[in-house]
Amino acid sequence: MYSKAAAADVARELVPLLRAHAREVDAKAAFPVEALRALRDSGLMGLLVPREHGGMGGGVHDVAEVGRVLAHGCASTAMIWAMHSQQVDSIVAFADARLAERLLPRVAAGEVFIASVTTEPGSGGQILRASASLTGGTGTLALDRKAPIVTGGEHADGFLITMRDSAESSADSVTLVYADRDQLSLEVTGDWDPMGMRGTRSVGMRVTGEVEPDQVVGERGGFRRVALASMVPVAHVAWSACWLGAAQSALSDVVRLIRSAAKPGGLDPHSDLVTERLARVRIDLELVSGYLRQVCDKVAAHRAQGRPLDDTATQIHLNTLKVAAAELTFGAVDRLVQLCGMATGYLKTSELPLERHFRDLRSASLNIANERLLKVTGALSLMDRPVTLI
Amino acid sequence: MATEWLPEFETVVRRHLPLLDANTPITPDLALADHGLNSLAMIRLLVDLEDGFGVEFPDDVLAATAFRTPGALWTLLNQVLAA
Repeated sequence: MYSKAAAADVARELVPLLRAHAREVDAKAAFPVEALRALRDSGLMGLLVPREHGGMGGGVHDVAEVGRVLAHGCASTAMIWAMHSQQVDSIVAFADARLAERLLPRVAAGEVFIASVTTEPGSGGQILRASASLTGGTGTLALDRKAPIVTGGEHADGFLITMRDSAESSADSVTLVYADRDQLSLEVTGDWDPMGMRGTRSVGMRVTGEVEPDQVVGERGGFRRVALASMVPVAHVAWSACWLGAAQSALSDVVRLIRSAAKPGGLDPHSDLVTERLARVRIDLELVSGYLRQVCDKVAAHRAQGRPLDDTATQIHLNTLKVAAAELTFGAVDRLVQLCGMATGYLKTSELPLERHFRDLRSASLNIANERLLKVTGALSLMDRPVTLI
Repeated sequence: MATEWLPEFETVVRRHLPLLDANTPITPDLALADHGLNSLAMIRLLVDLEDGFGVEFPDDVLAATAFRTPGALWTLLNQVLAA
């Protein structure tokens, strides 16, 4: 088995290259082509691909560790990788054996970067309902849908796409299909000029094409099960790890600056104000790190025993991770901006990329809106009278 | 199913099925999920049934198959009422 340390070491070797391109990727809102090339060559695109298909055979702890490390270099690149990894996990867990046989070795070799098409215009981030439907019955399946946000869509080699199972089925009957890029006709429909995570190139697209029946991932109409068992848990773990890594990198930069001879006058290590502020940031990151690890342990244990992740307490824990990580990591960087002041904390020309981290992490509470998860988590809390804490 | 269900039961259930046409009758074997009863709506339906019938469902009831059809849900409600 590929060891956890080895995968994280591979990621650590990539950090300087990711960091070297991070500023330009952010400035131009450009896809991190060089960083993704390095990720493809490193084997990390196949972190979750089982060894029998040529992958690293990693698990949820590895996703967290690699995501955290990659975000030290470039949060956009780390998020692109995180989303790819959640797609890969769904394919590993639910794809037809024939599709897995064809696709996973190519993913492991770095040939296939997979983007997801799981939201629709007006869906408000709700991924368990679909409007556009598959057509074509039992043979070749045709699809034609709009997608407002497709991270890395212009550069992806494959796509996981949710569709209403058929025109006759309800909006809750959602089917997940995989399509190679050359099976699709893709039209970029929107511009991409956001506040942060600018390198993710999460463009709007219109996606049309045809897939074979064995390219359905999971059961027909069964996307909910894929989402609950694979896509959502891995997404919440991987995203939280990326946000944590970005905030950790920001704190590390500030601590190094305070310890250096070049520190600005305001960053006096003997100042109670400075140390109190550092403590607050550190505590928030410790909490996210600890909770992330607990959730990884829980997901891994459930999976090892073949138990689903859809029980009430586990759903609450997975949502808590995402909401808490989004709020606490952004709050931590906000505090660091305040601590470092106008010149070091706020200016784009600062040696420290704090303002970039601030903009990047501002997206965390919007990427699947925290409000949506809070609504569900609050309702689920009503179903857990004993309050089953992690 | 034990007996014909009460009209109040049907009223509460219908309120949580946004995808069900107002003129379509609610049959015992109607697939609730196909008519908009997602997991969040299940919890709201549960809370409304508890309020309306003065009962308390056990916490693990969401995992049960009772929420698949009105017939199963009515049976469950009667079990809880009888307990």
